[in-house]
Amino acid sequence: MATPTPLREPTFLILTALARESMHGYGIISDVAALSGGRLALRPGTLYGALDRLTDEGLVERDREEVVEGRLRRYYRLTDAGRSVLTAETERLRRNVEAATQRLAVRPAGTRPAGGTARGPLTVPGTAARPILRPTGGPA
Amino acid sequence: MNQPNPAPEQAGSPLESRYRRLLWAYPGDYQAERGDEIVGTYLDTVEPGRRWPSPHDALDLLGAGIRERLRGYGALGLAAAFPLAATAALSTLVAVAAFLLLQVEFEDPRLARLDPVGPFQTLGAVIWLGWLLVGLTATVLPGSWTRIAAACGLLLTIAVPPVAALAGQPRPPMFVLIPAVALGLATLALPAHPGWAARSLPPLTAGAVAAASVAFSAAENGGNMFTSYGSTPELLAMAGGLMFALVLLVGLGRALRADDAGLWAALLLATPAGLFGADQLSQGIWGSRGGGPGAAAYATTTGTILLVGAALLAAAIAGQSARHQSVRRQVLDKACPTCGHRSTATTAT
Repeated sequence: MATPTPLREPTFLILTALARESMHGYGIISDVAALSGGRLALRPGTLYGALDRLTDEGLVERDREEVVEGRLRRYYRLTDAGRSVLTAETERLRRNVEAATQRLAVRPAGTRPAGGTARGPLTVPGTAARPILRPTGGPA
Repeated sequence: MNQPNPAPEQAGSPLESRYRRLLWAYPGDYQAERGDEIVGTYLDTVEPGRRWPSPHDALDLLGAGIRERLRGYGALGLAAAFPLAATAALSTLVAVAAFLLLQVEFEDPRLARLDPVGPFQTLGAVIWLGWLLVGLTATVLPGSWTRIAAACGLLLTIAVPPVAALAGQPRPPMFVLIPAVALGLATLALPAHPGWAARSLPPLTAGAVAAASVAFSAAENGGNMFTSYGSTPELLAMAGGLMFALVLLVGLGRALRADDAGLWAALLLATPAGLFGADQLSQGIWGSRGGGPGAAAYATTTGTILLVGAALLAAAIAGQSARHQSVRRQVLDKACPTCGHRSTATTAT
C-alpha cells in the first residue's frame, strides 16, 4: 500500500523520532510525546500497528533485539525510502510555513500593526502559489 | 527521554497477566511473535502502583488487535469503513428523529388512541430528542464528546422499552426501535477527528427532513397521512434503502480511486437498512394481522436479516482474505528477473 500523503501527524512524528537513531517502542513513544510538546500520547497498540504498516511500506525496518531486565526490546530504524519520504514531507511543510509566515507579515490595507506604523504590501513569492509537491522516493 | 519503569517491579505481576489477557484480540501467531514486546512497552509506560490496565489501554489493544486481524485478511478498508458508516448512521438517525418527532410525536395522541406522554404521543420523543442532541454535538463539539453522546443516545434508545413497560407509558413499536439501536451501535465508531462533511451532514439532513415535514404538513392542509407510528413502515423502509443506496454510491465513487472503505461501509450498513424494512418484509412474506405482521413473523424476519448481514460480512472478509493470500503467494513465488532471488515472508501480514 502506498504511503498516504501528506503524512498524518503521528506517522510524521514516528519517522522523525527514528531519523536520528534506531529506537525501541518505549523510546519512540517518549520521543513522539517530547516532539509534540506532550500533545500526542501514542499507546503501544497504536504504535506497533503503525510500525507494522510503515514496515510493510518499506519506510521502517527492524534493527536489533535485546533483552533488558527480562523485557524484550526490539529496535526499529528508518530505511532509505523512509528518510526520503520524511525529507520530502519536511520540505513540503517548510514551504507551507514560509508561505504562511510571509502572508501573515503582509497586513491588509488600513490596518496598523500594534505599536508600529502601517507597512506597504510585500512581494509574495511564487512558492506560495505553487502546487503542493508530494513526497517522492517512497514505495509505490 | 523518560526512564521506563524498572522491570522487576512488574515482572510476572497481576498487571502483566492482565495486559497479556488483553492480547486475545490479536491473531495467535502475532501474539506469539510480538506479545512480549507490546506488553513490555505497556509495563514501561504505566505509572507505578497501577494494578489494572486503564479502559483506554484496553480499547487500544482491542482496536489494534482487530486491525491486525483485518491486515492479515487484506481487509484494512473495513477498519477505515467504521467512521464512514458511523457518520452515515448518525445522519440517518437525526433525519428519522426529526421526521418522527414532527410527524408522529407532536400529532394529537387521540389519533393513535394513546394516553399522551406530556405533549407527545409516546416516550419515543425522548429518544428522538436525544439523537437530535447527538447530531448537534457532532456538529459543534470534538469527536471524543460526540462518541460519549452517541453512547448515551444508544443507552437511551435501549432503555425506553423497559422504562415504558415499568411506567405503563406508550413507546414506539419495535420495528422503529430495533433499526434505531442498530444505527446507534454504528455511531459508536464516529471519527475522533471529524472533517467538515461529518460535522455538516447531521444538521443538513435534520434540517432538510424538518423542512420537508413542514412543507408536507402544509400541503396536506389538515390531512392525516402520518398520525402514528403505524403509518410509517413504508417511509422507514425507504429511508433505510436510501441510506444504503447513498453510501453504496459514495463507496463506488471511492472505489474508482482504489479506496474500498466506502464499499465496506455499505456492507456494514446493509443490516440496519434491512432492519428498517423488516416490518414490510414480514408482511410481504407472512401476511399482515391487524395492520402489521405477527410478533413471531417479525422476530423471524429480524433474526434472518441479522444472520444474513453477518454472513455477508463474513463472506466478504473471507473472499478478500483469499484474494489477498493469492496475490501475496504470487509476489512471493516471483523470482527477481536480475538475480533470481525469491522473497520470503518474514513479516506477519
